[in-house]
Amino acid sequence: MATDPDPMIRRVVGTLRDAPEVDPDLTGRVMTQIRTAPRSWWLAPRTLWLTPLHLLGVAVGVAVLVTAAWFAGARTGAGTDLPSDGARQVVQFHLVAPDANSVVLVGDFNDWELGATPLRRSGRPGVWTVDVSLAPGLVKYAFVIDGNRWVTDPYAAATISDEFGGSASYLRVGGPS
Amino acid sequence: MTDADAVTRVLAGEVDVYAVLVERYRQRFGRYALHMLGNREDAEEALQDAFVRGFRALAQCRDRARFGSWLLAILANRCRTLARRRARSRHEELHPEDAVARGGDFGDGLAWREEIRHALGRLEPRQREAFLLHYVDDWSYEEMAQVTGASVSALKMRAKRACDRLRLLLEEAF
Amino acid sequence: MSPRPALVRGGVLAAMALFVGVGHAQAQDPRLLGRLDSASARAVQLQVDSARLEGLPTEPLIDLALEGASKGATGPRILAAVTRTRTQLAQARAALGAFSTAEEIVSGAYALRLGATTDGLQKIREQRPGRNLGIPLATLLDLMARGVTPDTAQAVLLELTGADADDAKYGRLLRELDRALQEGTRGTPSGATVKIGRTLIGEP
Repeated sequence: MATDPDPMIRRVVGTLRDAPEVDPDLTGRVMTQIRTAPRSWWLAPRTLWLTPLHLLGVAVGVAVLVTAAWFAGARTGAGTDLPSDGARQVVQFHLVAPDANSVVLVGDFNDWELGATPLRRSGRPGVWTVDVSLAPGLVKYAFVIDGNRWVTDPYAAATISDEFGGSASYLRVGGPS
Repeated sequence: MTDADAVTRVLAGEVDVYAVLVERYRQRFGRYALHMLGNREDAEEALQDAFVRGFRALAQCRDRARFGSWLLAILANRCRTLARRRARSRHEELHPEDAVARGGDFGDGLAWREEIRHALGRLEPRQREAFLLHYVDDWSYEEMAQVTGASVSALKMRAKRACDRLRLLLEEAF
Repeated sequence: MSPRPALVRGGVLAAMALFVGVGHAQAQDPRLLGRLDSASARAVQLQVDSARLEGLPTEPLIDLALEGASKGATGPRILAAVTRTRTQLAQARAALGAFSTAEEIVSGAYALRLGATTDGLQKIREQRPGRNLGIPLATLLDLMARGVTPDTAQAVLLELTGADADDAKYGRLLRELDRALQEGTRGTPSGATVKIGRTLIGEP
């Protein structure tokens, strides 16, 4: 913290730092407002990485946000106990995509085959999930919605650019967590 | 995902990725707006406005890795505009629900929090801004210069004067 | 003409066919053949075979090619990516030493891709000769993936390895950085990492 020797000021700063939480719905309101932007913005030329299912993606994105607060703790990720013997671990993946008809997981562990690891609808509305047994190490992965819309894991702690102009998420099985 | 990555992806058409940036900065910038404007409704209005403007102007964000300070400049502007529009007396209203929002007594007491709010409200806005940015949010003077457009020396002076005035006001109160 | 030359010729031909047959069976990973056009599959396979001969891990190269195929990348683009990655694997191995494990080499290659230097990797190895660098390298990678600049990430890693930090401290570094990022870190991920690193080193 920027230091001021005055204890009064330090006390003031301490109190001010402890502010009440901003309304979590604010994110949803911002995104809604962005989506209902005047038509001319949407017509402005820009490079689209996504397919024409972009609008579906926006709907998915809003759904992802709205559930962000109570989903914050539930994310994909490496196991927290480090196996020292190279044991495989079962990792649960999930994605919030209420308007999707299908969601698949692709990654190093399944040779990036689109049909190999479909997610199923979980009990919670809009939530797709699958459990996968993974060998220890670095695992690159992504989700594909409805066969052609590639998304990274919004809650992966690490996303890196892939070598093909897009991005991939990665997780570490059995590493520092 | 870094700020730079997120900005790049949003500009490439992945609108929903903007939410990551909103979530990332919401609390910290919300705190700044709250202390600048003195009440929650105005703070959230300024914050929401700043995020939306940030999205619409995103192509103008030159240094994508410093999206945070770029957005803060927008927010600081919104706060200034909103503060001018509102009556000055808003600052002196007491909002006990904010003071106990965390549901506990942190040993500072309700009265102390209200006095701080009151004292902050009595600072000249640019001094309040400099004080909050430097002492509460830990921005360096160099970064603040970029956010506010003022010189480093002017900002140091404002922050110092803010401290002096707060000390005076709060010592009077207790 | 006596039957001998014919037999010899036949034997040589058979041996050649066997040799070529065996060579051919090793040459093409069926996964590549199934997903890339044959020219690209052959070109990628050459890279994979060269990597194997050099003692580098080959699975990451195949995964990369398959990823590109699924994403609809062109053959040349896939080949460029595979070639680049093979180079990074080789550089990582050179920096980390010939006896590095596959895990160390792969992490090192990713780190180079994200901006680490071969010099930095070498120094990390020098701090912990003969010990497994899996966790420090993974931490280096994870720091950069979270937005810490390569310079800072390498510097903090070197401090930790230099202080002979135990494995648990690397995990704590990441967890506390994640917490700082979620709460709205003061300053940058790099600044937060430096502070957290110093605290961890200062602990017994």
